[in-house]
Amino acid sequence: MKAVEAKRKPFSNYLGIWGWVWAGRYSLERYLYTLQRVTGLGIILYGILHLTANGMRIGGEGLWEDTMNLFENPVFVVGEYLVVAAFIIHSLNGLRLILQQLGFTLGAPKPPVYPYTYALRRRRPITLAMAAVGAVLLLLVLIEFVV
Amino acid sequence: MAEKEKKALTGEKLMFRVQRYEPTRDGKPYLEEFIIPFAKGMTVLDGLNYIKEKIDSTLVFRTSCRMGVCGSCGMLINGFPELACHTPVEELGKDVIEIKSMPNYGIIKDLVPDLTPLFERHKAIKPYIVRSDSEELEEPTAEYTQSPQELEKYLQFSYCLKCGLCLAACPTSATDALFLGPQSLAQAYRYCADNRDEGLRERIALVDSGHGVWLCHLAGACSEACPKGVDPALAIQLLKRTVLAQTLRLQKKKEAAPIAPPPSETKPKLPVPEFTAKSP
Amino acid sequence: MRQSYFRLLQLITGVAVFFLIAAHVSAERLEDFIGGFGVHIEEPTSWSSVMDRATSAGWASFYIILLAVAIYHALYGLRGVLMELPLPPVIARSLNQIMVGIGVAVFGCGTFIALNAYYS
Repeated sequence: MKAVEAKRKPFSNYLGIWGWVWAGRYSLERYLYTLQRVTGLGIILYGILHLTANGMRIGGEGLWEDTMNLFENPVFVVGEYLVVAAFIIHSLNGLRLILQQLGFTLGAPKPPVYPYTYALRRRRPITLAMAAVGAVLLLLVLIEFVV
Repeated sequence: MAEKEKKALTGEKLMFRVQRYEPTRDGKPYLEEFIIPFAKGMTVLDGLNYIKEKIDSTLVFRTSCRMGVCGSCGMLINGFPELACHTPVEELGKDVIEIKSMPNYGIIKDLVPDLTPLFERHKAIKPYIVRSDSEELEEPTAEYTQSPQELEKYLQFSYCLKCGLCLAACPTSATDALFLGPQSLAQAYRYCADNRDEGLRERIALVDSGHGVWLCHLAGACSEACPKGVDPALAIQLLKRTVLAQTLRLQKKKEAAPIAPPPSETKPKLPVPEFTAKSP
Repeated sequence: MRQSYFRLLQLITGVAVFFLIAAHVSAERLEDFIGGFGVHIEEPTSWSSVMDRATSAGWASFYIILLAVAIYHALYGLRGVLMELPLPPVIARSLNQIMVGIGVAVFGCGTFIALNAYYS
């Protein structure tokens, strides 16, 4: 019995990577963190493909034209839009994070008075304004791609 | 669960789905269902106490003050880390309430998390006033001066209960067992911002590390979960600013708070009339 | 070096890469937008246009700087993500060196291709 108990691995109550994506009833900023991470990793993945594709020019005009023709495929056009969208979201959110992580725009500490709020919640209008700018840019880029 | 019992779950009854886990017996936690009567104004802790007293006395959970000042009863309630005593059942708006142990900690049993990592990280950042005048600390002669404005710079962060809800909410703590965590980072700032403290360099060396302050990505979940409005996310961003200012040598060297001088004048004793009542 | 130096560089490269990539995407795809700045590129992805830019000192420098800034920002971010995972101790200890190695290799290849076209 003791040998069996010793072999049993204790249950890990850590949320793990799933905890990055979905953790529960949290609000906007918690999931903007997830979006920042997903868009960042997506841009890295695209970057690898992009550098590889652009490196094809070392193979001469024929190889270059073949690579460019491949990217005329609608799947790649949609993918390109998604990458530009990821760039817009990542950079606007990143700009917000740079300002807030340096302590700017968050305000000074003040003794908590019930009902409690927190600095990020108070500054949500700034976050929403940035999201609105992002939405407008996404729409403009979509129009540019489609037209 | 029987259909008949499910239909009875509105108005007068609640279902508590409570996590059970006995490490020597169970491979992993499971949820056990309890039906309890609803009473207006009851909290989740009231429900758990009812279960323990009237249904299953083997259910284990931490509780102490039952009024939101001790931080013992932190749990994951319907997917959000909260203090059970601070969570009215009506606020959840559901007849079925799921209660689990706080995530990102080990489980000792049922709903009792192993808070050792929280306290170890808290101790690691030197959560006390560090000063060079050790004789004064050992044998104090007077208080250190601190204006109300200087107090306000850190007072909000001193309300921390060490309940551990912030680490349960933090996405970095979900995967990184070495991350210092929002609680200790916020407390590191609390002491760095205290004008009585001289331990800024020591604490910055601790937090400016691979698993320190820079693994905070401002998800803000810690501040959202904090039951006392401590706003650890704000403290951590101010700590980042302090660390960067120190690194770039932009931090002005501040003298630590001096000891308050003795009063310059003594007030005269107030004239007090003699007692008129005579002893028998 | 302390982590704060690397983090400060991450913030600086974040701002820089935003402007550089915005210029790059505009040059490659948004002809009307970039035309407003007086830059006119006919069919940016055609071989002749690519070679024109590859043999221009200004454009070649632009791409090399963009590559360096983007590689630093991307790999530091990726390192941050990986640091949070429970990696095997050997990889955890040498994560910084692995990232630097990958960064130097990618930058080397990219710069070689750019300079190869420039000097051809």
